[in-house]
Amino acid sequence: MSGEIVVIGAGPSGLHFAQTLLERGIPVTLVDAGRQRPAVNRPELTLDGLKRELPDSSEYFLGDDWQAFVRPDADDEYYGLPPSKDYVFESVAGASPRADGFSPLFSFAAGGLAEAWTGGSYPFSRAETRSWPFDWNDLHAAYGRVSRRIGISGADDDALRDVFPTHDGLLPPLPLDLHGETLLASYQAKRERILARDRVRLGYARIATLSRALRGRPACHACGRCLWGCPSDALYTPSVTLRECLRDPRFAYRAGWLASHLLLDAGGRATGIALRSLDGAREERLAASAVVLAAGALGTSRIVLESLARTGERAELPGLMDNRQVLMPFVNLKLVGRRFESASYQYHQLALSYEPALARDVAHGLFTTLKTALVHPIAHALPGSLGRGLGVLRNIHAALGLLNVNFADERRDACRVALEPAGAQGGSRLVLRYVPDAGEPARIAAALRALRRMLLRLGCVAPPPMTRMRPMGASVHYAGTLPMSSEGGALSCDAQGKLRGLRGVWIADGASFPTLPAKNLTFTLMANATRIAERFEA
Amino acid sequence: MTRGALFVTGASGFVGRRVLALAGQHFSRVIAVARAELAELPAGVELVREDLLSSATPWERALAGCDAVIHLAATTGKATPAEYERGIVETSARVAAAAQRAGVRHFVYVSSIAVRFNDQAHYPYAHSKASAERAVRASGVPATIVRPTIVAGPGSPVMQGFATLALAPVTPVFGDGQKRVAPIHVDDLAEMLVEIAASAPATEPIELGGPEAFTIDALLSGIRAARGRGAARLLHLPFAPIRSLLAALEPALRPVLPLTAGQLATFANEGLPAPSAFTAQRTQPLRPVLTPEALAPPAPSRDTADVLRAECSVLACHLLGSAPPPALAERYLRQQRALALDAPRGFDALLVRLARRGGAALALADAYAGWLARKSVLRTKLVAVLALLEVAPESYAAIDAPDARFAWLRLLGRGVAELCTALIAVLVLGPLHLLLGRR
Repeated sequence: MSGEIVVIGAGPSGLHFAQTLLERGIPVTLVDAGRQRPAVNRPELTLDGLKRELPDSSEYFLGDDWQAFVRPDADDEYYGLPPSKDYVFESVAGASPRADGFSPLFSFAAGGLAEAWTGGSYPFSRAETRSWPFDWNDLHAAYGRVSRRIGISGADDDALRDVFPTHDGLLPPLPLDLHGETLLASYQAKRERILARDRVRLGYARIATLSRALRGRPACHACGRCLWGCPSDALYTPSVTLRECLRDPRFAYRAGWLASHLLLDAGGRATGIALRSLDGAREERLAASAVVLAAGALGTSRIVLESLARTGERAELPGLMDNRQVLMPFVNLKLVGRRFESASYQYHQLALSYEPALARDVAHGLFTTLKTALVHPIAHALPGSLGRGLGVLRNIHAALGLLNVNFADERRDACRVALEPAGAQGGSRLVLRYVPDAGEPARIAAALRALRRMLLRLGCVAPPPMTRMRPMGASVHYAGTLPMSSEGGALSCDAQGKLRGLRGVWIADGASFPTLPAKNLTFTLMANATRIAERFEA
Repeated sequence: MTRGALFVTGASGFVGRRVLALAGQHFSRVIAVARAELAELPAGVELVREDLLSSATPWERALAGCDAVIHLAATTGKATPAEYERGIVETSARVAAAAQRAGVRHFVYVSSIAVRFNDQAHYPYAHSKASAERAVRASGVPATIVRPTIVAGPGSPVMQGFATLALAPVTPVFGDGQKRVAPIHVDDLAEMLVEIAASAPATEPIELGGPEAFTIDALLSGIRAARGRGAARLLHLPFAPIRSLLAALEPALRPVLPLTAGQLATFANEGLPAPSAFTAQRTQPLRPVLTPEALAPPAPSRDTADVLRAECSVLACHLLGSAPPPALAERYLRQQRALALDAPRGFDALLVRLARRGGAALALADAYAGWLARKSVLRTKLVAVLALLEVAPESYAAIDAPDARFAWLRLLGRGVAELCTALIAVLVLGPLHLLLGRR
């Protein structure tokens, strides 16, 4: 066996896998498209400071091509992403996927999609991973190890302590802003009643944002720029880990390459990986003793399918999962007419858990205050004239909140990833198909009723017409196409992420998740990759 | 034969733009007068941006040294008799007098076949054209009167009006539909005007028509056929009662009526040109007017920078309650061009024009856009101004400032006011939206 351990993809999974190996003293080569974040504009300024002092603030906030202006006459899904994060979603050469019932997002940035994440770090519980083929204590230990690396702030003694398992390395929560304080105080006054009637627990969010300095990164200083890209790295993104890895001489970073397919010998063993440059002009082959796929559930699926197609096998991967996401804007009546402070932490300060009788119906919610998002899409979303809509918005801006509700998913045969030929030069493209299960509408309706009722008890009104179910794929928590299982079966993984059917190939990202709980999966991506790397033997 | 300088009024109009494009064949220099900016100025054309009725008269200085004038500027469309008098008779008298003083060799006045209509009841446009012909003759300038019939060709406003009727599920025809018309292609008309200007003045009026005469019924059916539709279902309506009704409503409702009593005259009069020495000696074939190309709708004209700057100020005031920051207008200009929001059409254009008047008109337009036209150009423009205001150093704080006191009471007041405005807006603008809304 020649070559080295090659990891594909510098997202949260690939980077924490690589960092764990480096900590064990094992050399790693990381292959990645590697689009770099542009330099942060004026990191010393607050959000309002940017509006005051940039020579042309409209270019920073609305984009040089007005791409962040949300047109009322367009029907695109609204992601609210600022121009400073365009690099995260910039596409590369090649056929775009054909999708049915699914709106996929991809990233070719160094750090992956989590470069634009909101920091939610929620460990999966023992119960939520019951069908996963390993001892939960291993995962639990990995949560602690990741937390000590990246820093997670949050409480371990509030109403959510049984929902979010406690782990090592938890930092105290960030201070709440006025809106957060008001919501939490209202909840605490009615806690028993809300738990009994609405089955909702509410408490501090768990976020990968530092309330204390850690490993050279400063604590959050509440500049209000979270949405526009944290200028100080107090909000963790995987590129922080990439920088740490780059300081290790045993780490080789090959940026500017897309992995095309595995190089397989006659016995089905991977001997390396075929690479293609981002513009599609150059190709290269990289020998490896082990290939660890961490290109994201869709990217990894594509590499496996492409590799099989080159051996003449046309496979389909069933079991694609994503969290259905519902956005529920609300107005906190107690804060109408108040002035707000933009200088505070802008992502989730509070979280909730909705726990009906059936475990599969559980929903996970995150509270965002809509303070530093651009105002014009919100003003447009209000009914009636824009003049009066803005007059209303000025008075309810401090009272606005957004409850982001995530639902669990499970692997189903109808939701599949496949490959089809595309283009003249023997290229191919991903074909994605997602069919929601029949019980989803009723499940969502019941949860939304309970959450709306709970909000009303907190003094908040969530007008039903403003509640929006997002298309499948919009939450970008893709998983499940190459699942870990103890039973075996072709194109599944063992507990260590080793792919069955091919030899010398490991899956270290969400593709190997056997289930998808309602919680954000990113923290578990990092922890599971760390867990696999801790015992990795090529 | 190339002669000296040609002076063209009404240069930004439908005929004027084509005249500018073709004038170089006979004239070495062209001076164009227009109130609006011209998007594409042909080589060799100098533009004087001016209102012919304004008190300042640099255009008169530009007239000095010109050999010929083609006077096209005229009020058209839905105007009051007083506006026609001013925009046609006074303007023509003034330009002709100035041309006479400047020693212009040949003054071509573009009148209309309508001055020869037998039935000119409720048709102030025709009356004004006839008075203007007399005023031009009286000025003493060597002149030719030219009377075109309906001017057709890509973007023709009159032919667009006929097309709207022809393409409706049922086509209303006022009267028996047997009166004849001979529309002339705008390129033919422009060529002939330039040829006439380059020749010696004619004492008799020259009437200009197209290659073919149609009855009104045949014209409407022909337009439908050219657009690839099946046979028209013509509904002949009694002419006189409809004209009387329109004439009675006009003084109060002129801006919102779809057509005027005067515009019906074409349905009641023979509109064929009389032969003339000029047309008899001309041998070039005339362009057909019922081809799909000739019937193309007008290209949307892009709003000028001045119009957009003024619009920015009005919309920003509406949202902000005070004057916008000075730098905003230039950003708005770039933004509107980049987002292609500078050429609204149909009902979109009507809403935008209404909004530009500010005040109550803008409040109505905003409310209508907010309830029933949320994807309209006006709504997009309002949201676009807000996007600029919310990040501008001078205005970002004001965009978010809550009312100082009585927030709840004020919210309630806004709700009531909104409902009232929306109700009026729907009643006034709803019917127009239905009429113009088809894209």
